[in-house]
Amino acid sequence: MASDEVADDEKRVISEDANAGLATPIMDLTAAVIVAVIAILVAAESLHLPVPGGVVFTAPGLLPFLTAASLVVMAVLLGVSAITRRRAMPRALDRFEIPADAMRSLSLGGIVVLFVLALQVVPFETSFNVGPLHFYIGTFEPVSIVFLTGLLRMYWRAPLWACLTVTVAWIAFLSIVFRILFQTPLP
Amino acid sequence: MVDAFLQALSPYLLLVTLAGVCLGIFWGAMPGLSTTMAMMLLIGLSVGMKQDVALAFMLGVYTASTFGGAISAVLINIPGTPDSVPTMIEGHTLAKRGQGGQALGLSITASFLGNWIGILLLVACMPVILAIALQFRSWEMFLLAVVGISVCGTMTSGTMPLKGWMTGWLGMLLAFVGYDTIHGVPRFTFDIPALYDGISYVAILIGLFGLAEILKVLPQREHTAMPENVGRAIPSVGLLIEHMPAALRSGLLGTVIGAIPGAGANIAAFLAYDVGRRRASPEESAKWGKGSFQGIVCAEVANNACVGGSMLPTLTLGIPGSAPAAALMAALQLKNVQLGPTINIDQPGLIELIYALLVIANFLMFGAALALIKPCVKLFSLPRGLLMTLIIPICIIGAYAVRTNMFDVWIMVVGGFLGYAFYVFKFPAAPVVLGVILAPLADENLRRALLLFDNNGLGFFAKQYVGHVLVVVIALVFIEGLRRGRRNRKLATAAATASADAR
Repeated sequence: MASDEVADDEKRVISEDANAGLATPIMDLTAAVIVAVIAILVAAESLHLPVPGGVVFTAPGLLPFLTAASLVVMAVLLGVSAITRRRAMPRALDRFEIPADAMRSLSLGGIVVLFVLALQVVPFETSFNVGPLHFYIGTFEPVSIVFLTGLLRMYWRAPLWACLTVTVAWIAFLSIVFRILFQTPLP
Repeated sequence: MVDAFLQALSPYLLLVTLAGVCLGIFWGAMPGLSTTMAMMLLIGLSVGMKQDVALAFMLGVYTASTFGGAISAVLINIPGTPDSVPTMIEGHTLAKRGQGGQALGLSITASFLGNWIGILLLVACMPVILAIALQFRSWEMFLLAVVGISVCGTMTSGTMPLKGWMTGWLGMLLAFVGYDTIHGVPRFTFDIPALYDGISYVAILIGLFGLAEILKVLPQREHTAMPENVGRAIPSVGLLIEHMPAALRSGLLGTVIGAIPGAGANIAAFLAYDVGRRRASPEESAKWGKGSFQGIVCAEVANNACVGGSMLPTLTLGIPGSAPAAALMAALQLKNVQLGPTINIDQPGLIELIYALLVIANFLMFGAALALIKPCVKLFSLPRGLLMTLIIPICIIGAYAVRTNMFDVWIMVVGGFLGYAFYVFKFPAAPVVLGVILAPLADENLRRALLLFDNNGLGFFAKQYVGHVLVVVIALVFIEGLRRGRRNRKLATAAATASADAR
């Protein structure tokens, strides 16, 4: 109910990103603290950067420091705004609003991390000729086929043979387009 | 100009533009796949292409995907892109009455007209803006970069501009990593050799707009309905002429909004739709929300006019007018093309080629749109689990291709998680793009301006008339944004308290 009414109010403002706007106070407060910590660390590091020739106006850390310092001010403003809202609203409404599919998103993210890790650590290299054409296969092709087939099985839910066929065709297409047509190296 | 058209009409470029247009229509029509995502993925993929080929392909995608959203909006009541929501409100109602073909036909002609208005205003305004921009010195260029990031922050985060500014500033911090351009001092590299060349902004952008979208959309349970009766799309010139005043007004509005950094097709479509409703005759106004052809005209003309509008600051000032325009700018930077006031001197003929490609892409979009509606309908039956999964290797290739190292792929993954965190905490991601792209410009010009100030004293600032105007603009943007944030905070708190009392 409350979120509906808040949403109605938010609809009055036209924005390029429909999702962006006020989160619950506790979430805004958390975000403000994280940003403030990052900004303070950057500001401190900027002050430690060397100043060639002793000219402050051309110091490499000048704009990073100004940016980080103003970011701290913005984080404080967001934090103060969150605390003000937190005081004015019932505690029961102030909670972390995590999307329903967050766990699924995180596990997908985990699989992508494993995918990239495999691309980095699995050594694979072979080449062969088909008539006048020379084909090179690196780590990208076998690793992508394994992970993509698994992901398709999870999210497309088609039979394994269908997932494998689609994956092999897609990876072969990408490999030919990039390695042969665009001469772009793949992982 | 003739040379540019001859170059753009060469069979190979024509084919590439057509391929871009077809991909753009499909991409825009598929719910969950946005124009911005397509353009961000294309930055990395354009590495292997020649400059003119990359331009033709990307402009084809940009022009056509803006229209593509209307197809799913009218036929299955799901906007393919966020800017097609007004078209969905009116078009789907018409489709349910058996007038879907007419609604789609009108969307095509309105998009075609919108693109024309955008292109013509772009061509008309370009010399004026370039002449002004050539007067800009270091101080103005620094302020212009700050204006771009701040305005983008305000435009993308409607109820809380502060969050938009924060992500823009975070984007700037990311861009500071690596060797400083003036003294060659390594900044924030922590002795990691991979960071000496800076963080690849292409990888960040692909992560923020590609992987983050996949993390958001792929795990969602989908409910895609198939359209029952599509009918034949009839490009109705008569209907468009009937609503010509509204179309011209929306085209002008769309172009102007497109030229404002951060404001793009979404704001243009909603604003033109809203203005159209207010200015419609009582008879026409009664149809609004129940299947108004004029509503479709307003939204479609405006969001397509944005394409031309967004190119204006991108080409003349080097300030991206929208996230897709930023992607185009990034792709050109990879080809060592610096957009900005000196574009005509540094890259003679480039602007004319862009005009020619925009015109050709618009014609191709008109033809391809008519031909591709039925195949698009078939695409709706493709599960999202299949399509989104197949995009993952494209994200990896795009991030890897620019500098051929795995570090950039990891940066892309981090960008993906960051984008997802922005989504959960309701921060807009688009200002990061402007922050990352404009930070080097701001950094270099601020230090140069301060050095001049050091040599000339206060007299230096006294002569910076354009700079004074820009300072006032920045102040107004921040004051208005803070006031808006405060007002919305009060509204949200009041609504929450009232609902708690009611319980």
